[in-house]
Amino acid sequence: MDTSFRLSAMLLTATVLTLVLKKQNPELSLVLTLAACAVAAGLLIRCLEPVLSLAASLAARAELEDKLIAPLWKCLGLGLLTELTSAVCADAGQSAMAKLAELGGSLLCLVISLPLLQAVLALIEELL
Amino acid sequence: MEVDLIFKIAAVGIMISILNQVLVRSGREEQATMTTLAGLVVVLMIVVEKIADLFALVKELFHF
Repeated sequence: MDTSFRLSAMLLTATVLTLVLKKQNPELSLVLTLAACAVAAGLLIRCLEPVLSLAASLAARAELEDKLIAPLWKCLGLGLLTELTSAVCADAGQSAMAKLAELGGSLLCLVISLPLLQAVLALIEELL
Repeated sequence: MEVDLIFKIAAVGIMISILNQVLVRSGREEQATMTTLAGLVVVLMIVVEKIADLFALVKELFHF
């Protein structure tokens, strides 16, 4: 619960200070936004840890190979970073860069989950 | 812990804009630009370190 207080306090302060800096120093206000987003993301990821450990224990109990589960976590992390990047780029007014960040994120997620697709195909071939 | 980082960066930013105004008023425009760039570099060093921490955390947590 205190995490949400800390998070909202930090983000609101950063927002106000960004506006203070916007007029004199636009680039610095963007760097302040980037710092606030990076710290907030770090805070949130630390809160995600119990969820990840629970899911890992469930996967272990279900005897799923780590090879099948690993792409899942990578895509999750990748999606989070991509979201952060495109939001900050859009905030700076660079919508083209934001779109490219999102495109890159989805393509890389596809590349990461390639082994999964191959595993499914192999399974189907066995069935036939 | 996080909020003081935001205040630190904002303090540097406000100091820079004041210095910038003082230097511009006293006729030293090029020094004003230098001061702004120097301040930006200082802030970037701090922020880059924070982003490196975030990437290390993601790499460790999501088994990259």
